[in-house]
Amino acid sequence: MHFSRWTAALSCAFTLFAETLPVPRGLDTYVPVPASNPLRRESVEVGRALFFYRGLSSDGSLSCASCHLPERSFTDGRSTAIGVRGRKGPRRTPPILNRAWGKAFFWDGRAATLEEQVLQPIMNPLEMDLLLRDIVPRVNGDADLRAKMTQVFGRNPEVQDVANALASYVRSILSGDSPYDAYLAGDRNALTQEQRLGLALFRGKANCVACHPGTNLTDEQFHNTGVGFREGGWMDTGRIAVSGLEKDRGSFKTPGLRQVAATAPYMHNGSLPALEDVIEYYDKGGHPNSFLDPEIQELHLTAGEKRALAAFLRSLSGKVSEGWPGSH
Amino acid sequence: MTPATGVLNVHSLDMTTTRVLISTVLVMYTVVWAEDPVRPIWNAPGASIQGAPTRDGRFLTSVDPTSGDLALLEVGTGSMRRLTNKGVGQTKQFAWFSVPSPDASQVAVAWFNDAGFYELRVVAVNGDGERVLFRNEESGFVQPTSWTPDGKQILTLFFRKDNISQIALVDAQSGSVRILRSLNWVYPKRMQLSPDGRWIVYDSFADDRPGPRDIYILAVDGSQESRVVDGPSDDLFPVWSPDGKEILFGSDRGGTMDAWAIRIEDGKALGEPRCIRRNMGQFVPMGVTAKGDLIFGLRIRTAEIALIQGDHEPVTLSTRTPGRNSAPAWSGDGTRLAYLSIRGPENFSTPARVVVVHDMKSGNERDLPVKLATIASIRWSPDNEWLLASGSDGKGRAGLFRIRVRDGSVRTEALTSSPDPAGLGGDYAKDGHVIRADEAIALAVARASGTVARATKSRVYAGTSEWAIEGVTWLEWKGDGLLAGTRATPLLLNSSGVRKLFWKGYDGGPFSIHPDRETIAIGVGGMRSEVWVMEHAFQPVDRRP
Repeated sequence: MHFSRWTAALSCAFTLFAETLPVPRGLDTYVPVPASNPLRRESVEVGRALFFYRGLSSDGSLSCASCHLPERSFTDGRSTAIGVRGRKGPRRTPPILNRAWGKAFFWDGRAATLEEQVLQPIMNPLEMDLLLRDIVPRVNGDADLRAKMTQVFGRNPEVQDVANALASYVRSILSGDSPYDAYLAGDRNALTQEQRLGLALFRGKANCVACHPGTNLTDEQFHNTGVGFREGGWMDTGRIAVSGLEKDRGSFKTPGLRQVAATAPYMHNGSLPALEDVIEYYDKGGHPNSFLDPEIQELHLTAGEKRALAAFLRSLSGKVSEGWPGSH
Repeated sequence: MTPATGVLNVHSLDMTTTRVLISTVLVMYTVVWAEDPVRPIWNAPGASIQGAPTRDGRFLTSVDPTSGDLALLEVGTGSMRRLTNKGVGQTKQFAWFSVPSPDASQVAVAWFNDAGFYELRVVAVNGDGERVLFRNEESGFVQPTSWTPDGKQILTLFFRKDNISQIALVDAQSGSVRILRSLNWVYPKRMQLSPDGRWIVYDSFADDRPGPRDIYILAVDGSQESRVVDGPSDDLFPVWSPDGKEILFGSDRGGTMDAWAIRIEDGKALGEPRCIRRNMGQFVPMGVTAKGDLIFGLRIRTAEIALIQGDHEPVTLSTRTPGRNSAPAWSGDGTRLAYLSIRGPENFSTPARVVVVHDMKSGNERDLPVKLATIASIRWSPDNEWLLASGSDGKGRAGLFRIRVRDGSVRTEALTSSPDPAGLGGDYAKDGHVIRADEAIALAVARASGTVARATKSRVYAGTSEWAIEGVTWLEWKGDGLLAGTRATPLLLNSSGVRKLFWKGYDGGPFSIHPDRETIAIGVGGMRSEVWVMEHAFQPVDRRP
């Protein structure tokens, strides 16, 4: 009883004097985190070390950063991910910018929190292929990493600590301060005339905002846009494998559009190489199927409107930051 | 007892008369209700609930009902003083939401400008002038809600063009903005800074989806957020107690809209909510004074559907929800009357409405389970299978929607980029096509045939001819004529010209003519606002002085 009171008191004290993660313009100051894993400079930094640590793959060849390359806005430019020993995954490496505000993770939303999400690629045979029981020994195998983990979490490393540290680091991967953000903040010259037309199309005729609203330009929901349906058959049934609901057949989570110009190729399977291809795809109304989202309809955009829309999407590229500022 | 009981009902008066009346009414209530800790303090015509009290409770920021200027009401005397002077009829500008600084020397106000959107201004109470603090068309609606205790920042709600609402702190000197929290299109109905300036309490839908609201407390430094009141009930309009140890809020958890309070410590709830007072009606907390008096607004609605036949007196339609009904629409065969009915609490904005289908023969009524966030008007399709609704969808997008009468399912007909949740006006033409009438279109009607002159798209029509009517917000085809409404004036257009229509008590909204062409269904009544006080609101009833 006394212990839990002290723990609660310390937790409160920590909260009151906690240092908050600085965020770039355009993003919320409030960064949601679970009470069990408060966002701290130390946990972000040790999470960063884990993110780049190849020892978390079975053959020591890959780290998280092998597919989430910082210089490519944390994607890899491939249509589908490549795991250990050249194993090819079925889907594209998802963008992980601003996932601190995410509400579902992976293309099919099978993880509800970042803490749940971060260990799955490590254990996926097509990705890093490490057994759960081997995660802690691998961390302990690096003396420096083990020491940092012990210091941050106050005990010998456990799997949950690894998850918490990685989740904290992923929360620090941010994109903001783009021309779009400057425009929203009142700088009327931050977007070109063509980009402003593109923004109007994005919100209006092209109806992109139906699924890409908000600060991070995603509704965090699942939609069937027809990408998983080709030539009368399903290439990937998407969300239904998680929810078991027929309405989710062929649905995938809406990705955020921050840095979208730098994160080609597109769609969950990387089947569209350029932004222009994505615009063409939606202009034609997607691939018809029984579960196609009613928001997906032919758009009848003119060539100029398509150019404007692409120009606007390029204005979503801003500054990408990772880790706790000033810590590395 | 609903606090609205015993209210004086007065029709529009000029400013001088209004002031005299305010004083008279105040004196009267002081005598009659001196013992009642819950009583009206301003119920004259034009009483506005968009302001907030000063800490000492002596003054209330307000809107001058005659000019739209920002004003200060002295509660004790009823005298009102304008703080701005924009001139009457010179401009479309007006003041809207406002809140005084902690020392009552300044007022932050949402100011509707000539460009057609709201900007944030700060106005000196001593007449030293005013300044624009924040002006950004992308955040075209602003609502200042409270000041930090040091008077350096103003907690402000932004509502962006892309349907994002944001909780922000605006520097009271530089106007620089810090966005604390984005809520997609789900804006808080009330938010307020704690007396120590460390916390923000606000209400919002759970999980960003339309439904009952919960109450949240957000740390000003962004470090944490907690849901402090939740559950299936609608919990909303939170305000802080003067010591910052409790919040008071409205809730329907007891079956009626009541005032409740819950203890708060370090941004988290302590214990269970307790009921402060039952049957508060459509109340909207405006602020709490230093001694703990809750100042709140009451919206009193007397909206009914009336049926008029010839020169007979209007007859009120008997419904299950008297006082909450509007926007009638006859079915094409005249056997049913659909109308809108308010459900749940409301505040400054468009309240939640459902569509009710009233069977004229049996009197039976059926609510359609429509998944629209806002419905402003409805019209039947020629085949009576659909209703065309103006409003906003669950993503906050305004437009025209088709509702299937059989099951209430919704299809989008047209969307607009306008932030007005009332959406687009429109009606079905005889051939089943949808006629769209938003304010961006100068609608025109061909004189002789009553048909639309020019089709611009496959489904949406706009016309051009010799009669162009600006600002048409709704339409209804009838026989050889077209009923068209601007914001307040119904017009009948047919081969003999344009005629204005007048009905006593008409609410200015959509009306409908029965196919027998003898019975007209109109909305009558309306809504007025009053300002009330609940003294020592945070004390249990038996301990109040």
